[in-house]
Amino acid sequence: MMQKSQQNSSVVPGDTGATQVLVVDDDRSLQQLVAKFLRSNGYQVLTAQDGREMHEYLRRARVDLIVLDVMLPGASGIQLLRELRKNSAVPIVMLTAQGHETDRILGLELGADDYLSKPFNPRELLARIRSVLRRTSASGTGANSGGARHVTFEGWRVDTLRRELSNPDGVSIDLSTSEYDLLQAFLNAPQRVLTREQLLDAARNRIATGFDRSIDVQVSRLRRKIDGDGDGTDDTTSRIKTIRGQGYMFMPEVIKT
Amino acid sequence: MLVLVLGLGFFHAASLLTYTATLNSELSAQDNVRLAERLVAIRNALKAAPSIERETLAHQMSGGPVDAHWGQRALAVETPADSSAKAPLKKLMTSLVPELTRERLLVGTSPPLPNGAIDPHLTMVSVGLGDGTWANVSVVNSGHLHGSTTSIAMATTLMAIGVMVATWLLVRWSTQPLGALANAAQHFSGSALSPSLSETGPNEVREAAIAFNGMQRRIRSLIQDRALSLAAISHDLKTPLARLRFRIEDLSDQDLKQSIADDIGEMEEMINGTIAFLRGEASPEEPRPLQLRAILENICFDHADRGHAVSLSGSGKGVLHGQSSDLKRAFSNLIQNALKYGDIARVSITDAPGRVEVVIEDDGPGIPSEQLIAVFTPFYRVDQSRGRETGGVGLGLTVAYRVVTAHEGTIKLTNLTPRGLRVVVTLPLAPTVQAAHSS
Repeated sequence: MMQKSQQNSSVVPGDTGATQVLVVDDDRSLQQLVAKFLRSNGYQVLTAQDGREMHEYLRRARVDLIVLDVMLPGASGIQLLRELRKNSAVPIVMLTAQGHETDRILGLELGADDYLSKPFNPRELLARIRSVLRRTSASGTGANSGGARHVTFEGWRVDTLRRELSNPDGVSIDLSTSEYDLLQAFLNAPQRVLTREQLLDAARNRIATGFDRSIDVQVSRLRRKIDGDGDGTDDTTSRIKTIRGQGYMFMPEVIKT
Repeated sequence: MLVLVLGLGFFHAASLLTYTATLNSELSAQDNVRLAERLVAIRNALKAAPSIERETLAHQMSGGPVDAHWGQRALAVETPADSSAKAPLKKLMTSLVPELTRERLLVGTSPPLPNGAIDPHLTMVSVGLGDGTWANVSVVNSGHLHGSTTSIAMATTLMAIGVMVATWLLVRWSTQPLGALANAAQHFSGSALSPSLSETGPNEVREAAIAFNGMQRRIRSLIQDRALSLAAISHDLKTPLARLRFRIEDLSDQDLKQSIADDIGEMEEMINGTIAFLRGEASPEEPRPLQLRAILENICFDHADRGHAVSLSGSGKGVLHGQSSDLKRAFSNLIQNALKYGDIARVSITDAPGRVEVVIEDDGPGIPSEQLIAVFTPFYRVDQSRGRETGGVGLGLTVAYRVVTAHEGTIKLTNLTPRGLRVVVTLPLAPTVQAAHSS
């Protein structure tokens, strides 16, 4: 039932017309299925089979977001992405059949805003598109061209592109999707109280996990990781303080580079 | 090597022993003959010479171990102890000059010194000259003459030791590349990480190293070809699956929709598992320092959030050098297996010196002990009749094993009593990070 209410609010706030999405995929059946699904969720959809058709649409029409398949005849999706990013900040969600971590990172480093592996869930595609549009409309540009690549706090380092956290020894600390989203929310508003609702909203940017626990559980898991020792319940020494009756506050100073 | 040294040593000792034994008997026999001849010659010469010249002549005929004098008395003292040892000399002399038996012949020692002691190194021979005078000849005992046999033993032993040391160095030099070859073969994983052998050493070893490096290259390219063709297949399979996901969106029958979605999910998992297997250790991910605990927490919490009975205990951090997504998949497979077959996964992580140990236990039926090794082979399924339908293609443990061994770790399965399976994974900790921590 929640899905239904989300579908009704698919138009990005502040946008006058319906959002126009360009789907670039050489598999015509999948291309049409994606188009149909997005249309049924309130988007206007254009479809292209390759780079040539894509460029044609970009000249002729307003495109708010591109869903771009990596494997295309002629110029690959990666090549097209590289070309596009030279002079355009249009939000791009990449689709791939490879699905290995390094492919994802390559796509993100080249400036894609998000990355989905086939066979992806239609609702997941929808959630990612919404999330990217929300982020980019907030910053006015493509998400990746906006925020800082690296964020540090007390020797810890966050790579916002790879969504990776390293401790002061340079040891990578694996974060779950919702833990990362929470941390990002904290890093964007250090030393400010964030309510549970705000945090919940941040952690719901993606629906990949689908089994989100309460915010308090998520926060205690994040604490466990960024406080080093302890079990995530000791509030006095934690980098994330509980503000009674209000929410949580991220204590360290945050430096964006 | 040890066999060689022992063999050489034994052979040397044995041959030296026989050699000195024969040498000694040979020498003493020879000496006795020569000595007998010489004594007879002295006797004959003195007998023929006039009395006045006899002492001078005796002196002239002395030399070496032999010291001859002419005298009115016999000086040699025959003792019973001597008689047996000196009998051969006596016998030889009488066989040379039969009349010696008449003219008296004493083979013994020199007279006792004033303190009663007898010089054991001297043999005194007194030969009667037939006119009442005697030729007294003292002979330094032959045993002490060629006492040089001990120095011969010393010299040859030293030589033997030298030969052994030289052989050992040589053998080591020539087999060291073989050891390196065996080592490289053992650690060869098909990934670009396996270094080539240095093509040095004796001819045969160099050729083996060159052949090995060639083989390594061929295997590596085979693996790469396989991965490339697999990428194409996976692309071809994933696109229709993605289409299916969209097609079922229109289904009004929610139960049907859900069961098709589950099937698609299972197929996706199988494809991903197969890809992980075929990609093998040729992982494109750069190894980097990472915390194993964080990875395990994510896997365990994810399963716990889905309502599965997963627990994580132990205080180990498991900071190691590795490939994050590969380790995630390996431990995910192991924990999923525990949940699939044992309905529960008890995970613990403990840091030990230089390594981290992860134990995963379940309450399932375990694995028949004779199959505990075989389960790591690709596509292997534990006896179908006893298991329920659990899905998967039989690559979970294979992939876990591959990832763990690629990280130079070990993985071991043991059955628990009364039931359950214990998986123990040991991985080496990152040495540099350890040092950074302790400093």
